[in-house]
Amino acid sequence: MQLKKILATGAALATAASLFALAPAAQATDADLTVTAAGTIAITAPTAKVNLGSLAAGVTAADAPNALGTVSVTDTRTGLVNNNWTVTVKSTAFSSTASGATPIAAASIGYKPGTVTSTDSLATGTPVLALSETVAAATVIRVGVGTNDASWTPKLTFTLGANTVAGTYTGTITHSLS
Amino acid sequence: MVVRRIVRLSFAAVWVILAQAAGAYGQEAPQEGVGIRLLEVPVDRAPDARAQRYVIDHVDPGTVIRRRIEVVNHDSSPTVVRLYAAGAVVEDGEFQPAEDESGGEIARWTRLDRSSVELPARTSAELTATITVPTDASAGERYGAIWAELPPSEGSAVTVVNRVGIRIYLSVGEGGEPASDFEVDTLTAARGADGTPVVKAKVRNTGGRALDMRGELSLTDGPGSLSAGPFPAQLGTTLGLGQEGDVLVPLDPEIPAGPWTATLTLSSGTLERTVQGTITFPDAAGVSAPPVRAERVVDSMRGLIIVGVALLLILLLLLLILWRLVLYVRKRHRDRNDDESKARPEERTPEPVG
Repeated sequence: MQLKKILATGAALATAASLFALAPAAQATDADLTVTAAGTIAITAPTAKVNLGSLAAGVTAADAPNALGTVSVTDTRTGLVNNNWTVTVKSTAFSSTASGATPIAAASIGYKPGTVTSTDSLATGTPVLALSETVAAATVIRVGVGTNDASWTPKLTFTLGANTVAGTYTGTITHSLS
Repeated sequence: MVVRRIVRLSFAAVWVILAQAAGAYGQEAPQEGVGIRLLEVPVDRAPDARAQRYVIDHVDPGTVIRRRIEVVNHDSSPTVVRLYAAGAVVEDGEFQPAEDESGGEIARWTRLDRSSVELPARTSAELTATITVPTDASAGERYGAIWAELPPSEGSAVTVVNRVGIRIYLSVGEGGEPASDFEVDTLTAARGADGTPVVKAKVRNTGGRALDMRGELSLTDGPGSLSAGPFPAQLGTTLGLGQEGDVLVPLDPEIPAGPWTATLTLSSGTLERTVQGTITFPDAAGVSAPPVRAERVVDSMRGLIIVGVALLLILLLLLLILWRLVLYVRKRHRDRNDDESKARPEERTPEPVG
């Protein structure tokens, strides 16, 4: 009788021990939690009236004379383990109403962020050699902890075939911050 | 079935509120432009820093999930913000927003309760994104984002459109969430074109979900017993399923060439791995040393705790058994003594002479 009790206790404890050892990380209970992670990532409104200047036909990856307006990002998110963000950029083809003009493909347009000014120098800018109409490529990336901000004044580069018709070409550049 | 699922999720799910009263503007640091913030994350994902910034979930087909999002106008003038969901791809170590012709699954599955919002100066507004996964959706992870798009620049020349968004990493499949995992294959010591030492780690996503990598590198056992670091890793972008990428860790130009024991800890969300390798930086700029195999360092505190507790329980179990055995033996010994003393008085009782 006593022996049975001993064995029963032993079995119970052994089961408890093995269950605990195999138990997954504790699941959250149904209690409400409030996490005070505040703050946003924000991007500034684009500058109005961007006129890039003139380029001659036949150039390869030439900088447009004038830069696009300055882009600024601020990140005030708190309570996170890291404050990483990425700005990606894409472009439409640039088209002109001049007669006989064919659009400049997005792949002929490059994007150079230039020097990225940031509070903690953890934001880096990488040129994108060929933009795309459908897929945005990463250009300015910030990896680190803590609130931060960064700004840059990008330039576009153009590769124009020798037969590019003269005219005013326009298009749209989209910056996406996420 | 779908209704039941919606009801189940609405009433059974408990949300962690990353709260600020809607409409209140309470930022300390001056910000400009339009900002966005995810307002809620499921309770069991709260420890995951990625889930606090992005919409990350794993659901069965036919499920509906909701997230509240806040859009803030930080400027001193009013603005109108366009709101919509679009797709994305994970390629070349990057999370790339993509608008393909078919609209993409995330764009089709996501509805926002408003498509634009007028924001007076320094005010915020809330929107709710509802993602309805079709019952015949195939298993796998989808990517996308919910965008708040600022008004385009005015003018007839080049137009610039800026937008800010919350990424979506949605995994669909019956049953439990696919586990995340990654391997660090090699560490390569190199010098940049300007001579800055940099360590390049080759990382492979071997799990079932995309990873947003971060990490740091420490150097120990260097020349003259020097240590250096930790230096933050620079990857910061995304590895899709089965994809490989390089993590770059730039170091201080002052450090000697080595040899060093490099310890690299990389993580994504709550998943963390540590590897080690012995590296020596080349002397010339713009040159890489041969890659060194990275050895995994098992540093799981949780594993140690589980083993420790299990051993403790086994010890207690043994002690308990021992104690009961001792009691048992003592009781038997006492019983035997009682039997003997009961027997002796009978022997002494003289038989009546009759």
